[in-house]
Amino acid sequence: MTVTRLKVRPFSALLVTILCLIVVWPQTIMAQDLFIRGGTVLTITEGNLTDTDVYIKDGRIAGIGQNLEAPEGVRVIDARGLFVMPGILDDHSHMGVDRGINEGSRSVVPEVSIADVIKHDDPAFFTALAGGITTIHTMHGSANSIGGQNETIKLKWGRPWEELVIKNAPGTLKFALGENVRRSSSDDPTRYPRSRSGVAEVMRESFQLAQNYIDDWDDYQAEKAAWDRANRRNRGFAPLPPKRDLQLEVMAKALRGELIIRCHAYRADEMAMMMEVCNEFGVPAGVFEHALDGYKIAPELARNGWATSVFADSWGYKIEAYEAIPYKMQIHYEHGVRTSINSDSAERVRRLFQEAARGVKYGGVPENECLKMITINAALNLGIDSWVGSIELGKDGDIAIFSHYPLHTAARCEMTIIEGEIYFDRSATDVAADWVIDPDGGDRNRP
Amino acid sequence: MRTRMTRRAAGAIALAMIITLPALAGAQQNDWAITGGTVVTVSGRTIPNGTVLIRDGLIAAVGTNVQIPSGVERFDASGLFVYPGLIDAGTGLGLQEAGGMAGPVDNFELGPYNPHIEAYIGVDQNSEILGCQRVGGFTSVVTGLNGRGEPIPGWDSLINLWGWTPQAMAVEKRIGLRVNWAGNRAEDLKAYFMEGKAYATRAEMAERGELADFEWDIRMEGLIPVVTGELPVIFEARGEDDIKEAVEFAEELGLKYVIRGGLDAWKITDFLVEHDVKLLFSGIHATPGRDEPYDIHYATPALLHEAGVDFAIYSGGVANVFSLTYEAGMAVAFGLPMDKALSCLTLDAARILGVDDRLGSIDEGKVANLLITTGNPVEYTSQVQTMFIRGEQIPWDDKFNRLLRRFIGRAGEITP
Repeated sequence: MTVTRLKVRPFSALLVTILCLIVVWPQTIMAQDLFIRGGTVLTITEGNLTDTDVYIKDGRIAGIGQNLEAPEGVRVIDARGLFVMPGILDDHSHMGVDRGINEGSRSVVPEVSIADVIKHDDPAFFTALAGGITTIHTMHGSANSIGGQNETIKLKWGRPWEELVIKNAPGTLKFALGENVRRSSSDDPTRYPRSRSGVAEVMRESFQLAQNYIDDWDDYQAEKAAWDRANRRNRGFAPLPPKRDLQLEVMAKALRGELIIRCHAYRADEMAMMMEVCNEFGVPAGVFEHALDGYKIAPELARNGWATSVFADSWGYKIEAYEAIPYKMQIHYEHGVRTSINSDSAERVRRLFQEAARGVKYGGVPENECLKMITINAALNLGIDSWVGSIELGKDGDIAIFSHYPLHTAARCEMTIIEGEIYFDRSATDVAADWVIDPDGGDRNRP
Repeated sequence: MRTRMTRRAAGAIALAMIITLPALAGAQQNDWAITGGTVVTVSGRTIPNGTVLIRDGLIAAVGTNVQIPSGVERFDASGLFVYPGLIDAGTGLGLQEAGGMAGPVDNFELGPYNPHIEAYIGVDQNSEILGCQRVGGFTSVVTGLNGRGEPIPGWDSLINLWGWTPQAMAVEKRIGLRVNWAGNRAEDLKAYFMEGKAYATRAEMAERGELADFEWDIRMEGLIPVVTGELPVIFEARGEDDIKEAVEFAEELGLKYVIRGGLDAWKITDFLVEHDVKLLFSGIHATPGRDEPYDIHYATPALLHEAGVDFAIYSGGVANVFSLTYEAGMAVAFGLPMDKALSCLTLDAARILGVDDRLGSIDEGKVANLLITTGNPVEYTSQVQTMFIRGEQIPWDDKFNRLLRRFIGRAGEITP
């Protein structure tokens, strides 16, 4: 995270340095400095603050309060009458992936990585920004039992992909259960596993092989240490290290809790299975993706510490989606199951705030709790809550400014800011004006 | 936590009992006096503390000074709102259950021209997916076959989302004949409609005894109401050229018609106004093409409204018809007046479908399809608390609510 924030393009750095040398500045004003005046600030974690200013300095939130003084020279955004919320997170997305969502040749492919196929100029990033999204978790698909490593990125549209990646974000590993993994839509399935029971054993086998791999390396390290300690004359041949295995290396990380497990799951039995297998191996609880039937086992999810990332109300598109209910957010909330609302779609991502409003409509979840489901809860699900997901001092200056309270009809995202830089400004382009999505013109919307 | 959840669970069960009681009693109750709520008629005024009197499933009176006959059951809507039931003017409801399997999908017929088949007949009145749409406030929908985009998939039907048989659900078995327009189909469609016209003439002559060798044809019979201008054709056309061609086709043949789809309608608002086109628009949440303004589909309803185009909106969906209120809401965020957004789901939809004499607003003589809500159903957070269809209070026992009641009660089992 820090790396990303402090990273300055060499040319800009040079320019700023030269300017500083020539001109005597009262203080250096960076592009990442911004003063947002007088909005209703929805901090998410510390209540709603009216007529409040937010000052972003060097890309981080440096001030929150009433009647703050804007430092001289800093760009001021007038947010009076508007709603200032943290940039929205979509923690289940496939945007910006240039083919390679599913490596379907084998069912277990933890070694593959989304980082290798990021398409940083995906025009969908722009339309997502226009809906207040600042961070997405872009993932492998659900065709594989273990589908590979995902990537958490910020939608710095127009920047090279290295700058999009949140480098300090914990790694995440995609798992999947149910109809997709079983390739059940295929008339002639030829790939093992074909059954939910088979999928369970694939998980067990994968964790056991990873455990064996860890043990082999531990044994080797012990032998090597003993060999190193032994009298030089009596040492004999040095012990040979085990063969390095890129797949098991990733699985070993998952086993040790160094990667967050993100497990596509629909039915309650699948989730119960995954929790059972993870508990057997002492694997830390992760996040169930979609978790359509999670509401049926909310007490078990809560007890085992698993979180969920759900669709607000999509259902009925296949038989394992036939029991999903829009009241799931209510049930999860009442049982203390941490829940985010995701899009899984380049379309829906543009209006996650509207998806979150369904928590109020169906079951009366408190409004701020619904906003958490598209901000801090998603950040917690991704292990990046120290930097994003709420408006707090020291956090990244990732902000979405809305015309109305974001869960109410008429709410429209007016401006989206990442680390103090404006990446979307609706006033720079009128509705239905001559403004087209053009990946090559990505910088056109930047002030 | 335990106490709170137990209480909520108890509340849910109590609510379930209250709501299902009329159904359990077995008596169909079509006479009601809904009192104390704010009545939003949509056609005209909004009446605070108004009364809606329902007799035999019809709205008998609306106002503040309504005489309530003795023996009429009262529903206290104090603190709540009364809205007309919502209408989705284009769905596939009842003709397909869960997707992904061939068995429960019953939304297309073989062959390019099926002007004789009717959608309502295949509606599964016990469809779980159909019943769940009520939670969003929908009481009536147009449903139709369209699974494979055949040129003439059949007659769309307007149905209520409540009834023991498809026949009882049907408001209009033939609300319009669906034609999926495409430029390269124009000649064939024209030939087919001309054949229909000729057939209609022969059928009429035969009726009068002027034609001895009349040969009855089931498909041609289906075409008669449209070629004689009695009932509309519902052309599905999305692109700019397709919409124009379909309109010109309808005008040339003298058809009564509605355009549905209309994704490109924003490009040709002048044309639509000039030709008095009735439009059912779908696609507010569609993603823009690379060569289109980034928010054009959100903004299209506002642009149509400002230009004076006569339109309503529909979902085109099945499982998520109930989310159409969110599309309407997004149109509001991009400039469509709230009243027009609501009318797109009520009175305007009814009028474009030609049933505004019966549906779409709270007026004397109309069918008592009513919602009891916490606010405007287009508002994202408004809750529909109960509804009446043909004056009957609907048991809130759709699949969503059954599962909610079953599983929310698990709260007490949480162990530390």
